[in-house]
Amino acid sequence: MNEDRNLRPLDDGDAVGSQRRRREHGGLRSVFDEALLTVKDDVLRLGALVEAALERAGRALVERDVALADRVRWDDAEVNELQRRVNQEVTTAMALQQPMARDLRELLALYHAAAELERMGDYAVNIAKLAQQLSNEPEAPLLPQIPRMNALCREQLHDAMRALVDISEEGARAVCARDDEIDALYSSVYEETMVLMAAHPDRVRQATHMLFTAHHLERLGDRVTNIGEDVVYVATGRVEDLNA
Amino acid sequence: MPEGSEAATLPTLDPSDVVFDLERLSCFYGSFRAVREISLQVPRNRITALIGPSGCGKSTLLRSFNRMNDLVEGAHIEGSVRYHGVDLYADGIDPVEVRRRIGMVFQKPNPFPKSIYDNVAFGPRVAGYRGDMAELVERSLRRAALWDEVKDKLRDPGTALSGGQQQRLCIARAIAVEPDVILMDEPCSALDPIATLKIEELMHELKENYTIVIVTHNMQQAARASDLTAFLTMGEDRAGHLVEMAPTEQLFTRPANALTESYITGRFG
Amino acid sequence: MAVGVQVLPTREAVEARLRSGRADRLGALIQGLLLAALLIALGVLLVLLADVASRALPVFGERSAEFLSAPLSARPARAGIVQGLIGSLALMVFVVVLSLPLGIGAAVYLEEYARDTRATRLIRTNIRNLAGVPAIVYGLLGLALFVTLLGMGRTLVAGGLTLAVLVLPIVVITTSEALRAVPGSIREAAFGVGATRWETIRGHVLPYAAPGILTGTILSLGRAFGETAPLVMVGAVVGTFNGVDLGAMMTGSYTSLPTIVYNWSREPQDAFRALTSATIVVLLLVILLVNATAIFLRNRYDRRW
Repeated sequence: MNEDRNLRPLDDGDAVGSQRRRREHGGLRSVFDEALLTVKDDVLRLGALVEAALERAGRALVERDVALADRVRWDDAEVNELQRRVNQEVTTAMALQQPMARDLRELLALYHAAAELERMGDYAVNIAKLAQQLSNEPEAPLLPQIPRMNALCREQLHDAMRALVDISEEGARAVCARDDEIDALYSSVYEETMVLMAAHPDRVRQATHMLFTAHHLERLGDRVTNIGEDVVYVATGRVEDLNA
Repeated sequence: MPEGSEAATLPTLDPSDVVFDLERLSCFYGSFRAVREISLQVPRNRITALIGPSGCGKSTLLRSFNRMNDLVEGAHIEGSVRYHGVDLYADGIDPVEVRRRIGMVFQKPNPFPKSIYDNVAFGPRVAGYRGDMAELVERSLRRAALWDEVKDKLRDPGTALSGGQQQRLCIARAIAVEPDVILMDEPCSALDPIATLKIEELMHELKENYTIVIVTHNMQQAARASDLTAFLTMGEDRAGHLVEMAPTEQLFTRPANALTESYITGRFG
Repeated sequence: MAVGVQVLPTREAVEARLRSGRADRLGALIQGLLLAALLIALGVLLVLLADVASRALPVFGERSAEFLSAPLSARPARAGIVQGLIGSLALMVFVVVLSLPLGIGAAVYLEEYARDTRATRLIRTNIRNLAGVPAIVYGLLGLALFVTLLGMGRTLVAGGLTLAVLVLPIVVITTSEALRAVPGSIREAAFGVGATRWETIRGHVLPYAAPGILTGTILSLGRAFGETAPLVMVGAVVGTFNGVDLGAMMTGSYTSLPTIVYNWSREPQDAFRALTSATIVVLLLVILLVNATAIFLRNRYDRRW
């Protein structure tokens, strides 16, 4: 099975690993630092799982592959399990290590990001389900915006994860800005499906499925910007609304 | 909660990992019972913390591990303290030998009024060490994360160091006799926060080679630094007893006992 | 000031309060009186010293070397104090050799080994009482025990033993105080690394207490040096005698510097006035030397830590 061909590994250069090495051995709070890096590792993995799910769901949509869609639904259990584990790790780290200031914000940001990623995983599952429903219907041309939105969402997710690992305010703001493109695509899908339903009443079901798919992708994009806002909060300590 | 009616829940340890095994240990000063019927086990190469409110007998309990209470007139015990299976209070057991195997660091740093070198060398000397003393001193100071700061002034008096350094010197002094266990009685309570964190970091490194038991009234320190935590409290008879002992992560996030929970959340009366 | 009404003070009001202040007149008066007391005490001492020194001047001016090396004599022009010097020094040797080890040892036992029972408390109280017993009582004790019962006769040995016994309680007490001043944390630390009780005492307690012990013992030496009454009771010669070297004095008659002072001060002849004063000067100089040694040794010990 070559479904992994479109996956780019996130930790090119092993970002977290190099962070781990950069901390001097025996520095103060090494126990907390280790705990934080473990949480980061797990959140990154969570992000990679969701990215993969999104990619597969998108492909299942395009290729009308029911088996692939099943796989996405099946793999969501792992996403949920990992998010629960992140919760536990964060709770433990806060109870035992009493982090302050930026440490605290970072930990909270990771906690929140995990929750967002779990929801994003659910969206991917929903898209997979819609792909299955579409494949049961007579074939209708897929609106080209949808694969485009999928690709954009994956890029956004990838960049947001990068910004989260590095706590890069710049990267986070860039991600939040680019969400406009996804919103614009969604608007155009909305308009086109209206036209489509009016012009081809026999394809109302397919059109509706496509609209919902685009909706899920747009919501997913919003959740990615939430992660971006968390990163800005960690970096600056200020809560900003970057979801224009 | 009625006194002593509920046996404290204890973690189960692999027998080969047990260093101390206490069975219904009570410690008395004359006729006053300071510690009542404590049964617990301490695992090796871990940091075990004893926490609880003031006066609940934590220090008394700790000092019974290496027979330091013997130095107090009228102190005696009931029950048993087994160290690697050996009853420490049996006839014929030499308390001096006990204290060489089970070292102690005290609340207020108490370096000898001698040079740094002599501070560390005293223990091995009286133990009859015949090897390279300078090397042993250096090794002990390195293990206590103090070597770099004092290597050029080994002849300076130990009392000229800062509080945190003095405490690390006391740790080096304890390590120099190559003990198996290091007992620490509130080692950081006289130190500033950074010195405290340095010592916690040091403990983390030390547990690779030593078993550590620490008494602390600072719950956050127990949470940060220890692997297991035992919570003691004082009963109506003013004797301390064990309420709960568990892996630290568990005790501080999901304590089994309501009394434990009210203590660690700061709602203890 | 009205109750419950908060009046914010003005700058002038605050300044007036801060500048007024109560003049500590009583304090200043007392300070003056205390200074006067110090000056009077010093003054009396200085007058005494000046008086003695001026009276002793003729002796030192003319024949100091001979004064220090000649034996006692009925004739003032030929009298010297060498026998007293030798005698005093020999007596001090006895005191040091006997009372220091015994006294320090007893104190170490009492403070470090003995348990705090009624018996030990009784012992401690009695030692304190003994330190306050008048010296002449020790003279009687020496007479009864050393001279008569043990048959030593009126010898230097008996005198030395008497002085040693006199000084013993003082040594015990001062050593005890010095040992008690050692912080318990040092003992605990030593026990904590597995030292035995004796290793702790030898390695830490005694070195720490050494300056205090030293001071105490040297003070007691000074006290013994100046005793007259007990020595007279046990047979120090108050007149003249032959025998100028130590050997003779060990077996026969002996004397000490304070005894010589006592003796000469009772002589009717005027010439002995100067001699008495001169001896006093020598006595004071020796005591000064002993105390200076004590301070020097203590400072040396202190700096090592």
